[in-house]
Amino acid sequence: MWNAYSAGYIKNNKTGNRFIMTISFLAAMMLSLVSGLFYNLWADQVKQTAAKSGTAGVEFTPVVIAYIVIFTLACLALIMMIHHAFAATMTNRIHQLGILQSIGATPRQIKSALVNEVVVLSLPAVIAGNIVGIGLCWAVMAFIIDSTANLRDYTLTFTYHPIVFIGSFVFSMLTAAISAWIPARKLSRIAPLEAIRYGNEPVVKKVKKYRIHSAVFGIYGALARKSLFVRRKAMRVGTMSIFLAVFACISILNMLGVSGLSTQKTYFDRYKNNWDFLVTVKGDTYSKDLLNVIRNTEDIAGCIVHRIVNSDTKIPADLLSADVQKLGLENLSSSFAVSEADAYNTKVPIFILDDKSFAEYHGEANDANVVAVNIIWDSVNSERTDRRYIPFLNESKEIVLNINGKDISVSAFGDALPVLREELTQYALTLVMSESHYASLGFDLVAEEIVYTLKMTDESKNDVLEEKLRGLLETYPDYAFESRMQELADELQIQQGLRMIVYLFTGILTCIGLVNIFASTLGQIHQRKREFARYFAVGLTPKGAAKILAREAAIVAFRPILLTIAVNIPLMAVMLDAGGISADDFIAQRMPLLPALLLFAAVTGFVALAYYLGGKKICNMNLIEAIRDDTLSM
Amino acid sequence: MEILKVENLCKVYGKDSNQVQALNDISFSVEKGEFVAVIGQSGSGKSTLLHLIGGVDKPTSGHIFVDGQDVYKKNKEQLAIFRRRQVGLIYQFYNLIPVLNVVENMTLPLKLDGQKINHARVNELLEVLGLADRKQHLPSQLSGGQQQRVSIGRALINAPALVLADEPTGNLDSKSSQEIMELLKYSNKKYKQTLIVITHDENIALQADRIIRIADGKIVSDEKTY
Repeated sequence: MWNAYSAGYIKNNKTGNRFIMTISFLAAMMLSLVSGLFYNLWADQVKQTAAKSGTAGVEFTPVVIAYIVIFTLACLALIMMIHHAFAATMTNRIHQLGILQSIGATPRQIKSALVNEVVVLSLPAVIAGNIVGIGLCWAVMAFIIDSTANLRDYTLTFTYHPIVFIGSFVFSMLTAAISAWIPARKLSRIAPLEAIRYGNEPVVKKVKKYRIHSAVFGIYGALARKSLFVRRKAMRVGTMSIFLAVFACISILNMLGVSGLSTQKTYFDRYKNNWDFLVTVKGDTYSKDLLNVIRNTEDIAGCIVHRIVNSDTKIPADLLSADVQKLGLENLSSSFAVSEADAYNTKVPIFILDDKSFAEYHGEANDANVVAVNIIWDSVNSERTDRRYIPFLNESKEIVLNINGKDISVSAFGDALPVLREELTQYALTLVMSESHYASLGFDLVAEEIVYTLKMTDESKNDVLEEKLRGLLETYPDYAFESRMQELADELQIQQGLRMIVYLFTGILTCIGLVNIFASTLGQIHQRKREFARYFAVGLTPKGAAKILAREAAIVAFRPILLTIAVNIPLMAVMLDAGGISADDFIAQRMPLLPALLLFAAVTGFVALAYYLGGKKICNMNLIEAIRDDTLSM
Repeated sequence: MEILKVENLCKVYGKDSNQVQALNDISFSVEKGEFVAVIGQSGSGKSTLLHLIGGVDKPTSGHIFVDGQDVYKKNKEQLAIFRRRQVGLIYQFYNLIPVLNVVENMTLPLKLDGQKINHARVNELLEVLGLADRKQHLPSQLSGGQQQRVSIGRALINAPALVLADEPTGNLDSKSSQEIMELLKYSNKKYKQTLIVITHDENIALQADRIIRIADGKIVSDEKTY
């Protein structure tokens, strides 16, 4: 069979061979790249797990599960891509194979001939593709290693294992071989004459009407849409991959944009004037020496030392403000339990500031020593995103709270915390006092950590100051140092890293989709020539053919784009609303317009190119030969 | 009135030693409303002649005039419009568009031409063709005879100058063949439609007004049947 048929077929079918080899090469290359990347990410997870827990193996965290899902999807899409490309070329040959069968070739001989052909044509392409894929994987990993260097406290290296090569090689070859078996199996089920007459074209049993499409885009649009409907199975991998790529890319980038903007607004912008550096030291006492040194450091504008101890108390109902009494404290939050004697159990976080900072917080001239932050969110009459605050306690009354068995008299009221990173605890009565006063109370409440909140005079001094401060802290063994500007830089880098991963997988999925579109426009060119020969026979002009193909290309390229936009507009509206971000801010600052436009342009451009190349072959075909083909019969 | 004039038509396929002279200096003319059968053995050149008249192939030399216009002085675009408006082609294997139903297939040349559909004309043709109850059927849901009727309907819908049929009964049983021939004769008489039928079947040819016999690319006889 090889000598009698396959060798001659391969020799005389150079275009078809090139197509099979190109598809095999691309699919194997991407499979190798995806497998290599997955292996590296997996190895990284193993290493991290081992570093954390000291045991080998991988914890199935959401990240690992996401890797596995993406890897499996990408592999399936690639396997489908090889399958469809081969199936497209093999289906074109059913007619020919029917002739072989009619002259006595057994299905087994045909099967082995097809598999042999596939092995001969794919083997070098798959090997080359796998090797190039490893190279690409190395390049991508080098980029990831370089761009995430500041985010890791361990060394990440490119690793590879022969099993990855063997796996992607075996998968590629196996898929190609299975794709060759399918038409052979089809052949064994139909009579040779049927294969000869009907094999090249599927019988159309049902077509949707597409009335709106026909009304809007005319006869050319209707023919394009119906043709796509009939070939939907062959196009599925291509259109689905492109849709997934466009949809996932734009949706994830939008979500990253919203989350980034939300972090920017709720964290970085909010704390821009609150702190520049934070030094957190374990323990319950602070070093006055360290505080003095920090305050005397050049370019340090100020430093507040604070710690928080948590307690609780009972607030008699008559001490509550008129607003709260009117609403009912229990209506604001279920955390306020009514205790006996008409009083409410309330949490009391106590902020203890160094004396100087407390004086600055409440005013140097004021001799108050316990300040109550006297506001509470009116959750009955205002939303989370637009909070209205009302007084918690009745300021005209003398407030004495029993905390930890001692009576504490509130000497003043405030409506904000000192300028720190901490936010006001909701549904609790926050007290602020100085270290000296707290010491005089003789409480046995202990804070877990002391926080030094630093402001600098000028952001340009950030790096110099960070170095200086780290030097000062060398003698304090158990501390954590945070820099707001460094956090911002890290946050931006993490977002950039996430975007890079999105771009990478978008690129892979888009490539898979586009290769499939090329496979279905060029790989099934014989079928398409016959389809258009019928149109030409009844007077379709070359311009008309171009119109049909242009409409088809537009449907293939624009459908995923329009669907993505249609889904993303309401999705973004909900997300922006939930995040309290205005659409104008998002559009101006974080909307991924450029990547979206580039992706749309790439998808549209390559789909247009695939159809242009296919269209050129169709318009230059020998009409008489296409019409003469006896397989035109239904 | 002369509707078709073929002058010194030659068609050569292949090159050098593989050359085949499909048509060799053919000349004849056809009057409006005539029903002409072109008969010949397989490979005699009759299908080549039909394709050249229909504007789907190009002659090596010679001229074809349809309604006084030289067909092969037209460019690709004009030739397609010629096929759409001036001729109606009927093939042995129907060449219907599988994704379009009966009415859509029949009216396709009009739609491609941007013409408004004359529904009365469509319904009249459907009645004549016996397809009134098959309007919404796809080609795959029709028998061979019914598909050929759709293809006749499509050829007649534009009332073209010429209807060219290439072995229109070649793929049908004898009953369906006779029905198709009756329909073609009916359209020839009722609509004064000029009709050229290619066949190798003597009985089919005898139903025409005139028979042109071709052998080895040359006309060997051209005679009236009445």
